[in-house]
Amino acid sequence: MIRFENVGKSYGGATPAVEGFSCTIPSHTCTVLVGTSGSGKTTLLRMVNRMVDPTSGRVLIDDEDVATVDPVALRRRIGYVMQSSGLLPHRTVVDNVATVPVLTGTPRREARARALDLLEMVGLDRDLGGRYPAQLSGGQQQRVGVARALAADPNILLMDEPFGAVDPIVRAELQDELARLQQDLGKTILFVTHDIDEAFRLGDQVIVLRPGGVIAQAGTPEEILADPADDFVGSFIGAGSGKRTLRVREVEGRRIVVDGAGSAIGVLDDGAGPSRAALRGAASPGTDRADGERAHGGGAHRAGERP
Amino acid sequence: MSQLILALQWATDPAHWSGPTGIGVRLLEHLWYTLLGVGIAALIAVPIGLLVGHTRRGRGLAVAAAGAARALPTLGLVTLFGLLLGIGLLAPLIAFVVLAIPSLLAGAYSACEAVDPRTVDAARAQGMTELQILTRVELPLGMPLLITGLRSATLQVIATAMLAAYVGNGGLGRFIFLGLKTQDYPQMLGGSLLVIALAIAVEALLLGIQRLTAPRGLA
Repeated sequence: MIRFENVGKSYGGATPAVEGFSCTIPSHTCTVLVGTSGSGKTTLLRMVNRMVDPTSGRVLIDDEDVATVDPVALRRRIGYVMQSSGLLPHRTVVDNVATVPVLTGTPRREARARALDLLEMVGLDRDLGGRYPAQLSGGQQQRVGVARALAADPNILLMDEPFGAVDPIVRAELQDELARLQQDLGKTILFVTHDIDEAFRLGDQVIVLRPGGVIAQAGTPEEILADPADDFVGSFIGAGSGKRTLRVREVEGRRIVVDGAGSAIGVLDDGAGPSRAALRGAASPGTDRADGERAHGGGAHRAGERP
Repeated sequence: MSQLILALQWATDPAHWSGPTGIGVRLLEHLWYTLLGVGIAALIAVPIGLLVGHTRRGRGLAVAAAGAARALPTLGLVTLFGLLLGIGLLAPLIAFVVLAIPSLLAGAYSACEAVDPRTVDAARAQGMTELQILTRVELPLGMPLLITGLRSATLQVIATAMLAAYVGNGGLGRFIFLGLKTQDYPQMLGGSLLVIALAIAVEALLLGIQRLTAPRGLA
């Protein structure tokens, strides 16, 4: 479990990057921070592995204040995936994946063998292990980035717009792959994106941020869709544009789903499919009131504090 | 033109190559001075340059210092230190070190600066220490630029090392100064040609090393 306690970050300018942010990221679930640029989402993510130190407040992992942990040791036990794959261009794919295990003293041979297994796990051919990052496509590089983040078998995975730089088709593939991996691995994932569809696709819990790291709304995708907290969230998720308001229209005995603009987008299937939670293999955390810091009221409260 | 032919004849005459004052010995002395000058300069400039490049701090100061050092006339330095320290190798050596430092410093900090900051950021986020980032990421990736600095420094010192003879040392400068004094221009020109040939040979060697140490995997 990751807990942000009244966290702030100021770079000395007039407006702080993040101010008074509190929330809890439950273990073994995927929490998505979603917001436009300037919402402080990446800053918040990087506070978890101390790539950014907050100027106020605390970040706790399992009740341990990260400020008391050596940053190098902390980073080695937290997986990190970034938008530009960040792979070392002068090292082969397999050596890139084995980076952290080798740093922590795993014999190179053993680390490489495990790295090849990891490549397979993220849907890559083992033969790619001998290539250099520049010889891979963007999507393949991101998969290697995920494999590298998983190499030390961390409990926590930080993902900073990991699929932001690949084309939409590959992005959808990577999202599916991550959802599948998460079903097997059950990591505590903190995922940052500006893409609300990606947030809904992957998040057990979604936190919509306003500029300055202010929580506009936090909840499950269902909760946010069903009841956007305010106009900001409504427009962010596209509630007003019609793409979220679907209607059913009968055509030749079948029921067609159309969006607000009247464009057909699918066929309604009455068969009771598996629920979202079952699909993801994880319990929905959004209704867990025990750590109610991130309940809707919290966001509204903090919003009220803004001048 | 005939002077040039005479100079070539002088430089290729086997009789001039042997003996304790022959071309062979002078060539080795010349190389030795270069190695000393560049080596000492590297010990000073490369760590500072890497520190500046890695931390991205003090760049302005490093650039200014390197620029100022470049502006110093080497013959003046040799004369000045010669007057202060007397005849010997120390005076020209200091001048060579001053001459080599700017290129090495620039090579070292640009080696770090040229690495994509996102790559460095990712390495740090994986849990590399700052030293590991320097030795496993910035140095291997910046090696070509570091060696460019080394090449340029070496070339300058080789070309200038003949000044060692000006204050009583050996090296290929002996032939140049001796030829000048005795109006033996083929010898003087021959000595110069040898310096040029040596510079080209060392440059080729360093280019080869640069190719070998270039990071693999870069498109």
